[in-house]
Amino acid sequence: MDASPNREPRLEQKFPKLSGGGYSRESPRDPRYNCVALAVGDFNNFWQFMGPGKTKGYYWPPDLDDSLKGWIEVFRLHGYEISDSPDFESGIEKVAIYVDSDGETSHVAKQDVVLGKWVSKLGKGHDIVHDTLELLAGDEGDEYGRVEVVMQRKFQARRFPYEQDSRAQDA
Amino acid sequence: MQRANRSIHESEGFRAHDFLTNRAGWKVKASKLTSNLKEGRTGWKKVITTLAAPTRLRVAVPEQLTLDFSLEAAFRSLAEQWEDETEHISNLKKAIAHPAYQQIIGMGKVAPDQVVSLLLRRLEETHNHWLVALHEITKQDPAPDGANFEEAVQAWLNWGRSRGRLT
Repeated sequence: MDASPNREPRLEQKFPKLSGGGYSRESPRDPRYNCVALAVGDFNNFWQFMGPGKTKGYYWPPDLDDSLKGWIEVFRLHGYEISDSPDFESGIEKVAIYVDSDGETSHVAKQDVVLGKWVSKLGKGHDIVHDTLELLAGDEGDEYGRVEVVMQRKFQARRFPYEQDSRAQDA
Repeated sequence: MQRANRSIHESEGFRAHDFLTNRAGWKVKASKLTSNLKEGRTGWKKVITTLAAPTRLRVAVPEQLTLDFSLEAAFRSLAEQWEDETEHISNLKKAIAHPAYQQIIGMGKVAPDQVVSLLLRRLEETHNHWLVALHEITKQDPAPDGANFEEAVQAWLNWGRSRGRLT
């Protein structure tokens, strides 16, 4: 188990598997962006499908919805293709899309191309780095269900939420 | 006359305090209600007591609390519940479907002026995702096309200030 000081009991209540696994909280709470935004490296927008005529302030690519197919297309637009494994491969960036028990998209995590760990923005809350995808899986508390699709692309740029300098450049 | 009324309120206030403090789940502070009663602001009706059983005293519930008092307390409770229980939901549409959020929208359709002001104040404090509720209640959206979340928040706060709903 990771002995990182950046553990948080409240997160472990909401995601019970974290209490027995390696993870680290890497940012304060921030409602301005979400997991999809983090995965595509856009910290200025909250990526959320709202539908036509709905509330402004959210971004989602036109002509796509928030179905699993829609999320897959979002990542295709960023150069990702379906992958058959979440295992770490040097020089390859991966994202893992979770679906809940109803099959609805619930979360996406991005793999750190150097460490092989996963980076997640937990809703409107913290960014965390977690050792495995399984730590956020499940249906008991706030977990995201199961990983349904893994996608990959060749490494393009390192953009992680805990790299403050790169975030400032994005802004 | 004033003295007699004050005495009645104090008596009812005591009973209200006793009633509230003996019931779990009632989130309103009994002391605040008591002070409201002392000031004669509520429509507290005659307290009726009946003996339901030889050893059990039942006290009547208040007929109606003052609107501002109960609405603000209910709003705060629902807002805190929603912010806590949906913090980690990544899909905002699911978070908005949460019963507490929907209840706030429902309150806003009944008492739009008060609830919009409460929502704007909450938005200013937390920068949380109250835009959908504001949009649903007011049927307006002051954010410019293509605004990101923070820009939309600022547009709503400016909208509230310009209409005197946020000071």
